[in-house]
Amino acid sequence: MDFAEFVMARTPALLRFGYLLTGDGHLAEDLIQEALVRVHRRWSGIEYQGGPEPYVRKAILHQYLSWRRRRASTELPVAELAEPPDPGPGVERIVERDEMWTLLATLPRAQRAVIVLRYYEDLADADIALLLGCTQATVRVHAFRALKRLRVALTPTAVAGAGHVRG
Amino acid sequence: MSEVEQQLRDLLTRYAQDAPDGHWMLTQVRRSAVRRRRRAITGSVAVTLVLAVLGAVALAARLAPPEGKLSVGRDAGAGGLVAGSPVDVTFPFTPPAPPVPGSRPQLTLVAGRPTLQYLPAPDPAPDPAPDAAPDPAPTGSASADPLADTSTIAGSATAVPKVDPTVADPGTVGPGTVDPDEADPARTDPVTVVACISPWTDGPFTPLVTDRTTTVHGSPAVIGERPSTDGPPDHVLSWSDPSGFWVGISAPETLSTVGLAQFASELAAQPITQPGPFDFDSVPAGFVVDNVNSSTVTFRPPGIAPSPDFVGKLVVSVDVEPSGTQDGRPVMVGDRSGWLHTAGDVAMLRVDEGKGWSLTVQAPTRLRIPEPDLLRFATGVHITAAATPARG
Repeated sequence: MDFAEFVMARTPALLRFGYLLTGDGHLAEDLIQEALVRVHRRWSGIEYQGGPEPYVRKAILHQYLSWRRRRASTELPVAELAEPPDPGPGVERIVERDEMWTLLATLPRAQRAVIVLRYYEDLADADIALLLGCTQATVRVHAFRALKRLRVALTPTAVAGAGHVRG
Repeated sequence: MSEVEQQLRDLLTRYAQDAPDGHWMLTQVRRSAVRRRRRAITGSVAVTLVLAVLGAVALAARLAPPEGKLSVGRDAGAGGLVAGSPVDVTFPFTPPAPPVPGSRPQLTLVAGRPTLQYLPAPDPAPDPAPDAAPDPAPTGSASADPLADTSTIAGSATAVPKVDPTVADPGTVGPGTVDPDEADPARTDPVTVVACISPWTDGPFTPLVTDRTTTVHGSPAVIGERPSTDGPPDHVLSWSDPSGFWVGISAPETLSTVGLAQFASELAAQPITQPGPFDFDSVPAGFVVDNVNSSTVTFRPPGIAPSPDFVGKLVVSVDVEPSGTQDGRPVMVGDRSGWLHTAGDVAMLRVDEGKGWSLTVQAPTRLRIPEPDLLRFATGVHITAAATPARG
């Protein structure tokens, strides 16, 4: 598969991955484009090494982690979450999930990457560790802290609805 | 799985559908890659200019060398030896599969221009130097070999290829070359691709008869014909590439203009590098590399325009001919033995490299390179694994 075929076939999936990492459509496009440009320069070398997809995913993650670090200096931290809207009947679940989406934006990038890889890509911790270049224990720590932070930050209504949770 | 985890899974699945479709991604990536390549080229040019200025300052400082300093002739407009550098040849495009069956790409520097030629693949023949290093594969910006298939650049014994009959003077071809007619039994001109950072003024790829216009890499291109010394006119194609290079291709008329345009469009804008046959510890100040192939490197003196011939230039080549068979008086070149003699107006130094190979340095007397400088220069010439000796 040459580079053009790969981009044409895999861009939608890569953009979904990038969108979940960044939480923003434009940032996702920039992220994937930047990673693909870097990959393009060494395409002929990587396409024979077990297929390009893992390499591209790794490049996206590396770009995301370092890129977000640079951009962080220009972004304003969210001190407090916006006041949650009054949930009407039948919309509590949606509000709860939207609130969780907002909370994801407050996670450190490494924790968010682990969350996306574990709960969207359905990857095992071993595979996540390979992609992030860390140990499985580090992956588990990131996941534990992210989940803990989400549980604590969720509204009392949501937590009560969730019952007790296990790490 | 806890409820929060299940909520996360549902949330991510739902929000993933909001991602943009990215239907323009391939176009954007390609444009971005081209812009970065241009910036890299601009940066390289800037660095080159800075180095040139620094070199000029160093050269000016050497114009009045201290007592006993090695120097070359005044008519060369330079003084002494300066640190050398690799003479690798970088071509701005990765070549596609050979457009003519049975040919292999070979990357050279001809008249200062990176030149890619598809020459007939050499017949397997016994290697006269069994312990010779294998031909190295060219390296690109990528970590892996960009040509790790049948299109691998040839490291054949064929030397400076015939470039363009309107420029090259067959009578000026120096040692280490072979007759192109011998290299190509079909007696057709090889497919030749030349890249230049500025428009050429000698018009080697400007068609005498314009056939039609086309588009290559999104840029307008002209297809036409130019006369060939060997038979039917060659097809030529030239364009100003978005990568910043002026590119020209000539091909035998057996390759159709449609095939020629298709071949041009398949030139991938990814640089590749062919290692040179020698490393130089030092070179005469002001001399510039203008021809490089697998067995020969030429340096033109200051004030001389680039050209594919060897006339009036410092020539370094590696041959299979043993040095002891030549006339001359014995000299020591570092810790190697050599033979120095003058033939006409050219000083010729041969150095025994073992394995039946010899290193030859030709210096026209009008360059006025003193013998100590010539020996010192030859001492600093090291044959690389990329070298393939010329046969006599």
